[in-house]
Amino acid sequence: MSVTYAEKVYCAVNGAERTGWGKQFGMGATPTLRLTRKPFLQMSAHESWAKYWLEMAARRRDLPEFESAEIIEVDSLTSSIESIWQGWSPGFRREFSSPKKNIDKLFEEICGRTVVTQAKPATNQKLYEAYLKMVSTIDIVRQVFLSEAEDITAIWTIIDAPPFEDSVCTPIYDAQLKILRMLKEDMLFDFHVFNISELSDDLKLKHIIPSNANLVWQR
Amino acid sequence: MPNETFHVFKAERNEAFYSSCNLDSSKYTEWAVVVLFYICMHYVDAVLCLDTSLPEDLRDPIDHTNRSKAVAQCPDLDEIASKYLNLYRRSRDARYNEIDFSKKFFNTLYADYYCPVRDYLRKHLSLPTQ
Repeated sequence: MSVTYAEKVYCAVNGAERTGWGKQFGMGATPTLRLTRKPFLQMSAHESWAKYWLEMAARRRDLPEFESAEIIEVDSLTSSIESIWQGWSPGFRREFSSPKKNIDKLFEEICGRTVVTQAKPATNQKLYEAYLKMVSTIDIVRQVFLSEAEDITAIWTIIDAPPFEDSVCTPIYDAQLKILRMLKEDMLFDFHVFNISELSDDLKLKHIIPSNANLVWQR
Repeated sequence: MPNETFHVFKAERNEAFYSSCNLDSSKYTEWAVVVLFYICMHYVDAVLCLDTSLPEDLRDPIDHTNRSKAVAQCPDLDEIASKYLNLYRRSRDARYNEIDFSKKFFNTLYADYYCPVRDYLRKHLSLPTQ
Protein backbone atom coordinates (compact mmCIF):
# COMPACT_ATOMS: atom_id res chain seq x y z
CA MET A 1 0.00 0.00 0.00
CA SER A 2 1.32 3.41 -0.89
CA VAL A 3 1.80 6.08 1.74
CA THR A 4 -0.94 8.15 0.09
CA TYR A 5 -3.44 5.34 0.33
CA ALA A 6 -2.41 4.57 3.87
CA GLU A 7 -2.96 8.16 4.86
CA LYS A 8 -6.35 8.25 3.19
CA VAL A 9 -7.47 5.06 4.93
CA TYR A 10 -6.15 6.27 8.23
CA CYS A 11 -8.08 9.53 7.93
CA ALA A 12 -11.25 7.73 6.88
CA VAL A 13 -11.20 5.25 9.71
CA ASN A 14 -10.27 7.91 12.19
CA GLY A 15 -13.31 9.77 11.00
CA ALA A 16 -15.39 6.67 11.56
CA GLU A 17 -13.98 6.49 15.06
CA ARG A 18 -15.36 9.93 15.78
CA THR A 19 -18.90 8.89 14.92
CA GLY A 20 -21.24 6.83 16.99
CA TRP A 21 -19.54 3.77 15.54
CA GLY A 22 -16.47 4.72 17.47
CA LYS A 23 -18.49 4.58 20.64
CA GLN A 24 -19.46 1.01 19.85
CA PHE A 25 -16.33 -0.50 18.41
CA GLY A 26 -13.63 2.13 18.60
CA MET A 27 -11.50 3.50 21.36
CA GLY A 28 -14.63 4.70 23.09
CA ALA A 29 -15.92 1.14 23.32
CA THR A 30 -15.80 -1.11 26.34
CA PRO A 31 -12.73 -3.37 26.66
CA THR A 32 -14.79 -6.41 25.64
CA LEU A 33 -15.81 -4.85 22.35
CA ARG A 34 -12.32 -3.54 21.61
CA LEU A 35 -10.96 -7.05 22.08
CA THR A 36 -12.99 -8.19 19.08
CA ARG A 37 -10.75 -6.14 16.84
CA LYS A 38 -7.68 -8.18 17.77
CA PRO A 39 -7.65 -10.45 14.69
CA PHE A 40 -7.41 -7.35 12.53
CA LEU A 41 -4.52 -5.96 14.51
CA GLN A 42 -2.33 -8.78 13.27
CA MET A 43 -2.40 -7.18 9.83
CA SER A 44 -1.11 -3.82 8.77
CA ALA A 45 -3.00 -1.36 10.94
CA HIS A 46 -4.39 0.87 8.20
CA GLU A 47 -5.45 -1.98 5.92
CA SER A 48 -7.03 -3.95 8.72
CA TRP A 49 -8.98 -0.95 9.92
CA ALA A 50 -10.35 -0.26 6.46
CA LYS A 51 -11.47 -3.84 6.07
CA TYR A 52 -12.89 -3.91 9.57
CA TRP A 53 -14.93 -0.77 9.11
CA LEU A 54 -16.18 -1.86 5.70
CA GLU A 55 -17.51 -5.06 7.19
CA MET A 56 -19.02 -3.34 10.20
CA ALA A 57 -20.67 -0.73 8.01
CA ALA A 58 -22.13 -3.46 5.83
CA ARG A 59 -23.74 -4.95 8.89
CA ARG A 60 -25.05 -1.75 10.36
CA ARG A 61 -28.67 -2.82 9.95
CA ASP A 62 -28.10 -5.56 12.51
CA LEU A 63 -26.41 -3.32 15.01
CA PRO A 64 -27.87 -0.92 17.55
CA GLU A 65 -29.57 2.05 16.01
CA PHE A 66 -27.88 5.38 15.81
CA GLU A 67 -29.25 8.83 15.54
CA SER A 68 -30.02 9.67 11.92
CA ALA A 69 -27.23 12.26 11.71
CA GLU A 70 -24.67 9.64 12.71
CA ILE A 71 -26.05 7.23 10.13
CA ILE A 72 -25.57 9.81 7.40
CA GLU A 73 -22.00 10.41 8.53
CA VAL A 74 -21.30 6.68 8.61
CA ASP A 75 -22.67 6.31 5.09
CA SER A 76 -20.38 9.00 3.75
CA LEU A 77 -17.41 7.48 5.53
CA THR A 78 -18.34 4.07 4.17
CA SER A 79 -18.27 5.48 0.67
CA SER A 80 -14.83 6.98 1.34
CA ILE A 81 -13.46 3.71 2.66
CA GLU A 82 -14.99 1.74 -0.21
CA SER A 83 -13.46 4.00 -2.82
CA ILE A 84 -10.09 3.59 -1.17
CA TRP A 85 -10.56 -0.18 -0.96
CA GLN A 86 -11.40 -0.34 -4.64
CA GLY A 87 -8.16 1.45 -5.36
CA TRP A 88 -6.11 -1.34 -3.86
CA SER A 89 -4.69 -4.04 -6.06
CA PRO A 90 -6.45 -7.40 -6.18
CA GLY A 91 -3.41 -8.83 -4.44
CA PHE A 92 -3.91 -6.57 -1.46
CA ARG A 93 -7.61 -7.27 -1.37
CA ARG A 94 -7.05 -11.04 -1.55
CA GLU A 95 -4.85 -10.82 1.51
CA PHE A 96 -7.81 -9.74 3.54
CA SER A 97 -10.42 -12.12 2.20
CA SER A 98 -9.65 -14.70 4.87
CA PRO A 99 -10.58 -12.43 7.80
CA LYS A 100 -14.07 -12.37 6.29
CA LYS A 101 -14.68 -15.75 7.87
CA ASN A 102 -14.07 -14.21 11.24
CA ILE A 103 -16.61 -11.43 10.77
CA ASP A 104 -19.55 -13.56 11.83
CA LYS A 105 -17.66 -14.76 14.89
CA LEU A 106 -16.68 -11.20 15.73
CA PHE A 107 -20.24 -10.06 15.31
CA GLU A 108 -21.42 -12.69 17.72
CA GLU A 109 -18.84 -11.54 20.23
CA ILE A 110 -19.84 -7.92 19.76
CA CYS A 111 -23.54 -8.34 20.05
CA GLY A 112 -23.71 -11.60 21.92
CA ARG A 113 -26.07 -13.12 19.42
CA THR A 114 -26.03 -15.25 16.28
CA VAL A 115 -25.73 -13.48 12.97
CA VAL A 116 -29.03 -13.53 11.14
CA THR A 117 -29.97 -11.68 8.03
CA GLN A 118 -33.40 -10.45 8.77
CA ALA A 119 -35.24 -7.26 9.42
CA LYS A 120 -35.18 -5.79 12.88
CA PRO A 121 -38.22 -6.55 15.04
CA ALA A 122 -40.70 -3.77 14.49
CA THR A 123 -43.18 -2.06 16.74
CA ASN A 124 -46.85 -2.95 16.67
CA GLN A 125 -47.67 0.16 14.72
CA LYS A 126 -45.08 -0.52 12.07
CA LEU A 127 -46.34 -4.06 11.74
CA TYR A 128 -49.99 -3.25 11.23
CA GLU A 129 -49.02 -0.43 8.90
CA ALA A 130 -47.04 -2.96 6.92
CA TYR A 131 -50.08 -5.24 6.92
CA LEU A 132 -52.30 -2.39 5.71
CA LYS A 133 -49.86 -1.63 2.95
CA MET A 134 -50.03 -5.24 1.76
CA VAL A 135 -53.78 -5.84 1.96
CA SER A 136 -54.72 -2.44 0.53
CA THR A 137 -53.42 -3.73 -2.79
CA ILE A 138 -55.82 -6.71 -2.71
CA ASP A 139 -58.98 -5.70 -4.60
CA ILE A 140 -61.44 -7.63 -2.46
CA VAL A 141 -60.34 -5.94 0.76
CA ARG A 142 -62.78 -3.19 1.71
CA GLN A 143 -62.03 -2.24 5.30
CA VAL A 144 -59.58 -2.95 8.06
CA PHE A 145 -60.37 -2.52 11.75
CA LEU A 146 -57.87 -2.53 14.56
CA SER A 147 -58.00 -2.86 18.29
CA GLU A 148 -54.99 -2.80 20.59
CA ALA A 149 -54.88 -4.20 24.08
CA GLU A 150 -51.87 -4.37 26.35
CA ASP A 151 -50.76 -7.79 25.19
CA ILE A 152 -52.48 -8.33 21.87
CA THR A 153 -53.30 -6.51 18.64
CA ALA A 154 -56.43 -7.65 16.83
CA ILE A 155 -57.08 -6.90 13.17
CA TRP A 156 -60.33 -7.46 11.29
CA THR A 157 -60.06 -7.57 7.51
CA ILE A 158 -63.40 -7.09 5.79
CA ILE A 159 -63.66 -8.34 2.23
CA ASP A 160 -66.31 -8.30 -0.46
CA ALA A 161 -65.87 -11.41 -2.59
CA PRO A 162 -67.96 -14.25 -3.96
CA PRO A 163 -69.28 -16.10 -0.91
CA PHE A 164 -67.36 -19.13 0.30
CA GLU A 165 -64.64 -18.82 -2.34
CA ASP A 166 -61.82 -19.24 0.15
CA SER A 167 -59.05 -19.31 -2.44
CA VAL A 168 -59.42 -15.56 -2.97
CA CYS A 169 -58.22 -15.03 0.60
CA THR A 170 -54.82 -16.65 0.03
CA PRO A 171 -53.02 -13.31 -0.51
CA ILE A 172 -54.55 -12.04 2.73
CA TYR A 173 -53.29 -15.08 4.64
CA ASP A 174 -49.87 -14.61 3.05
CA ALA A 175 -49.81 -11.03 4.34
CA GLN A 176 -50.81 -12.24 7.81
CA LEU A 177 -48.06 -14.85 7.79
CA LYS A 178 -45.46 -12.23 6.87
CA ILE A 179 -46.49 -10.16 9.85
CA LEU A 180 -46.66 -13.14 12.20
CA ARG A 181 -43.11 -14.09 11.21
CA MET A 182 -41.86 -10.68 12.29
CA LEU A 183 -43.35 -10.78 15.78
CA LYS A 184 -41.01 -10.60 18.74
CA GLU A 185 -41.40 -12.96 21.67
CA ASP A 186 -43.85 -10.80 23.59
CA MET A 187 -45.94 -9.69 20.62
CA LEU A 188 -49.24 -11.23 19.58
CA PHE A 189 -51.44 -10.43 16.60
CA ASP A 190 -54.91 -11.94 16.19
CA PHE A 191 -56.23 -11.80 12.63
CA HIS A 192 -59.87 -12.11 11.58
CA VAL A 193 -61.32 -12.16 8.07
CA PHE A 194 -64.98 -11.58 7.23
CA ASN A 195 -66.64 -11.68 3.84
CA ILE A 196 -69.62 -9.35 3.93
CA SER A 197 -71.30 -11.34 1.17
CA GLU A 198 -71.51 -14.28 3.58
CA LEU A 199 -73.28 -12.39 6.31
CA SER A 200 -77.02 -12.79 6.69
CA ASP A 201 -79.25 -9.79 6.17
CA ASP A 202 -79.78 -9.54 9.90
CA LEU A 203 -76.13 -9.71 10.77
CA LYS A 204 -74.24 -6.48 10.45
CA LEU A 205 -70.56 -5.81 10.86
CA LYS A 206 -71.27 -3.84 14.00
CA HIS A 207 -72.47 -7.08 15.57
CA ILE A 208 -69.15 -8.77 14.78
CA ILE A 209 -66.51 -6.07 15.20
CA PRO A 210 -65.98 -5.07 18.84
CA SER A 211 -66.98 -1.53 19.72
CA ASN A 212 -63.41 -0.70 20.74
CA ALA A 213 -62.04 -1.53 17.30
CA ASN A 214 -61.23 1.43 15.06
CA LEU A 215 -61.56 1.66 11.32
CA VAL A 216 -57.96 2.20 10.19
CA TRP A 217 -58.36 1.77 6.44
CA GLN A 218 -61.17 1.80 3.92
CA ARG A 219 -61.23 1.48 0.15
CA MET B 1 -45.53 -30.44 28.12
CA PRO B 2 -47.57 -32.61 25.74
CA ASN B 3 -45.37 -34.39 23.24
CA GLU B 4 -45.63 -35.59 19.68
CA THR B 5 -47.16 -38.92 20.70
CA PHE B 6 -49.93 -37.23 22.65
CA HIS B 7 -50.84 -34.87 19.83
CA VAL B 8 -50.85 -37.60 17.21
CA PHE B 9 -53.06 -39.67 19.53
CA LYS B 10 -55.48 -36.74 19.91
CA ALA B 11 -55.54 -36.06 16.18
CA GLU B 12 -56.26 -39.70 15.36
CA ARG B 13 -58.88 -39.87 18.08
CA ASN B 14 -60.59 -36.83 16.57
CA GLU B 15 -60.47 -38.53 13.18
CA ALA B 16 -62.11 -41.60 14.68
CA PHE B 17 -64.81 -39.42 16.23
CA TYR B 18 -65.38 -37.72 12.86
CA SER B 19 -65.84 -41.09 11.18
CA SER B 20 -67.96 -42.57 13.96
CA CYS B 21 -70.45 -39.70 13.73
CA ASN B 22 -70.48 -39.70 9.92
CA LEU B 23 -69.84 -35.99 10.03
CA ASP B 24 -68.99 -35.84 6.35
CA SER B 25 -72.66 -36.53 5.61
CA SER B 26 -74.11 -34.72 8.59
CA LYS B 27 -76.41 -31.75 8.22
CA TYR B 28 -74.41 -30.12 11.00
CA THR B 29 -71.69 -29.02 8.65
CA GLU B 30 -70.46 -26.42 11.10
CA TRP B 31 -69.45 -29.12 13.57
CA ALA B 32 -67.84 -31.12 10.82
CA VAL B 33 -65.74 -28.03 10.03
CA VAL B 34 -64.81 -27.66 13.70
CA VAL B 35 -63.69 -31.27 14.02
CA LEU B 36 -61.65 -31.11 10.82
CA PHE B 37 -59.83 -28.08 12.20
CA TYR B 38 -59.06 -29.73 15.52
CA ILE B 39 -57.72 -32.80 13.76
CA CYS B 40 -55.27 -30.59 11.89
CA MET B 41 -54.54 -28.51 14.97
CA HIS B 42 -53.21 -31.49 16.87
CA TYR B 43 -51.06 -32.62 13.96
CA VAL B 44 -49.70 -29.06 13.83
CA ASP B 45 -48.97 -29.20 17.55
CA ALA B 46 -47.12 -32.47 17.03
CA VAL B 47 -44.85 -30.78 14.48
CA LEU B 48 -44.38 -27.69 16.63
CA CYS B 49 -43.20 -29.62 19.65
CA LEU B 50 -40.48 -31.18 17.52
CA ASP B 51 -39.08 -27.85 16.30
CA THR B 52 -36.25 -27.05 18.67
CA SER B 53 -35.53 -23.76 16.89
CA LEU B 54 -38.77 -22.29 18.24
CA PRO B 55 -39.01 -20.66 21.68
CA GLU B 56 -40.67 -22.80 24.31
CA ASP B 57 -43.98 -20.94 24.26
CA LEU B 58 -44.37 -21.56 20.55
CA ARG B 59 -43.42 -25.23 20.75
CA ASP B 60 -46.37 -25.69 23.11
CA PRO B 61 -48.80 -22.85 22.31
CA ILE B 62 -51.41 -22.14 24.96
CA ASP B 63 -54.01 -20.72 22.61
CA HIS B 64 -54.84 -20.22 18.95
CA THR B 65 -53.24 -16.78 18.75
CA ASN B 66 -49.91 -18.16 19.90
CA ARG B 67 -50.39 -21.16 17.67
CA SER B 68 -50.92 -19.03 14.56
CA LYS B 69 -47.68 -17.22 15.39
CA ALA B 70 -45.94 -20.56 15.85
CA VAL B 71 -47.26 -21.89 12.55
CA ALA B 72 -45.89 -18.80 10.79
CA GLN B 73 -42.48 -19.15 12.43
CA CYS B 74 -42.03 -22.89 11.99
CA PRO B 75 -40.29 -23.52 8.65
CA ASP B 76 -41.64 -27.07 8.45
CA LEU B 77 -45.17 -25.67 8.28
CA ASP B 78 -44.57 -23.08 5.55
CA GLU B 79 -46.15 -25.24 2.90
CA ILE B 80 -49.53 -25.54 4.64
CA ALA B 81 -49.56 -22.39 6.77
CA SER B 82 -51.98 -20.49 4.54
CA LYS B 83 -54.43 -23.41 4.32
CA TYR B 84 -54.21 -23.92 8.06
CA LEU B 85 -55.15 -20.27 8.65
CA ASN B 86 -58.21 -20.74 6.47
CA LEU B 87 -59.26 -23.85 8.40
CA TYR B 88 -58.81 -21.87 11.62
CA ARG B 89 -60.87 -18.97 10.23
CA ARG B 90 -63.70 -21.28 9.18
CA SER B 91 -63.67 -23.11 12.51
CA ARG B 92 -64.16 -19.73 14.23
CA ASP B 93 -66.98 -18.91 11.83
CA ALA B 94 -68.53 -22.28 12.63
CA ARG B 95 -68.29 -21.80 16.38
CA TYR B 96 -69.14 -18.14 16.83
CA ASN B 97 -70.66 -16.57 13.76
CA GLU B 98 -73.96 -16.73 12.01
CA ILE B 99 -72.62 -18.17 8.79
CA ASP B 100 -74.24 -21.18 7.12
CA PHE B 101 -71.96 -23.69 5.43
CA SER B 102 -73.46 -25.44 2.42
CA LYS B 103 -72.62 -29.02 1.61
CA LYS B 104 -70.86 -27.82 -1.53
CA PHE B 105 -68.65 -25.49 0.48
CA PHE B 106 -67.90 -28.18 3.02
CA ASN B 107 -66.83 -30.63 0.32
CA THR B 108 -64.48 -28.00 -1.15
CA LEU B 109 -63.04 -27.20 2.27
CA TYR B 110 -62.52 -30.90 2.92
CA ALA B 111 -60.83 -31.60 -0.41
CA ASP B 112 -58.83 -28.39 -0.92
CA TYR B 113 -57.84 -27.55 2.65
CA TYR B 114 -58.29 -30.35 5.15
CA CYS B 115 -56.90 -33.23 3.06
CA PRO B 116 -53.73 -31.47 1.86
CA VAL B 117 -52.99 -30.16 5.36
CA ARG B 118 -53.65 -33.46 7.08
CA ASP B 119 -51.69 -35.49 4.54
CA TYR B 120 -48.71 -33.12 4.61
CA LEU B 121 -48.57 -33.18 8.39
CA ARG B 122 -48.87 -36.95 8.65
CA LYS B 123 -46.18 -37.39 6.03
CA HIS B 124 -43.93 -34.97 7.91
CA LEU B 125 -44.49 -36.99 11.07
CA SER B 126 -43.64 -40.19 9.18
CA LEU B 127 -47.17 -41.49 9.52
CA PRO B 128 -49.07 -43.26 6.76
CA THR B 129 -51.40 -40.93 4.91
CA GLN B 130 -53.80 -43.79 4.14
